[in-house]
Amino acid sequence: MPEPADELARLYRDLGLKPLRPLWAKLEILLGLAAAAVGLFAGMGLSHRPTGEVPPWAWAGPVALCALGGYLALAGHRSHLYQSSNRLTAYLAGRTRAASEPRDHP
Amino acid sequence: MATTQSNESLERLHRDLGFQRLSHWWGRAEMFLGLLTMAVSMFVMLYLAVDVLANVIQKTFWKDPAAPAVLTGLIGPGIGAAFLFAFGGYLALVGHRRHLYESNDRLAAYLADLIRSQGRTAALPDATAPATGNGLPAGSSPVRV
Repeated sequence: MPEPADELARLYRDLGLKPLRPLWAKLEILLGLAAAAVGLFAGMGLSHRPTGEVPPWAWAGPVALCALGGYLALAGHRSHLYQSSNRLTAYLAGRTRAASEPRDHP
Repeated sequence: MATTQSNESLERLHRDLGFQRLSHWWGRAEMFLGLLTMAVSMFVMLYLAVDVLANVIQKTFWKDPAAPAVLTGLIGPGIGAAFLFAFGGYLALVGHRRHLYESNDRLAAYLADLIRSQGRTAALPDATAPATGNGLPAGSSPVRV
C-alpha cells in the first residue's frame, strides 16, 4: 500500500489543490486574532472620547482591523479543517485503491 | 477517473443529492460583510456602553434627574446593535460553512468517482480466467458497461 504522504500528494494533484501548511494556518489564526484585538482596543480608545472630537472616518481603521482580522482567523481555522479532511480523504482513497488491487497468492 | 472529471463528478454529486452549486466568491462576501457588520455593531455597543456608564454614574451618585431619560433612550439603539452583532456573526458563519461544504463536496465527489472507477475495474472480466466457447472469460458478459 502506498504511503499516506504519496496519497495526499496524489489527491492534491488530482484535484488541482495547493498543499496547505499547518504552521501557516496557525500563524493566520494568531495574526488575525491579534489584528482584531488591536482594532478592538483602538475602537475602545475612540469610544470614550467626546462625540464631536472623533470624525466618522476615524472609525474605519478599527472596523477594518476587526473585520479583516476576523476573516484571517477564520481562514486559518478553515485551513486546519481542510488539511484534516484532505488527509482523511487521501487515506480513504488509498484504502479503496488497495482493496481493488489484485492480491498475490502464493 | 478523478483527475479529468473533477467538475463532472462534482456536478453529478450535486444532482444526485439535490444540492445547489455553491459560489466561492459569495461565501467570501458573506464572511466579509458579516464580519464588517459585527465590527460596526461592536463599536456602536462600545459607544453606547460609555454613555450608559456615564448616565448610570450620574443617576446613582449625582442624582441627576435627566439621566434616566437618557438611559431609556439608549435601549432602542442598544437592541439594534445587539441584533446587528448577532446577524453579522451568523452571516460570517454561513460564509465560513459554505467554504467547508464546498471543500467537502469536492472531496466526496473525488471519492465517489474513485469508487465508481474501481467498481468498473472490478467488473472487468478476469483475463486469466478459463475461456468459454464465445471467446470471453467465464462469468463475463458480452456487453461491457
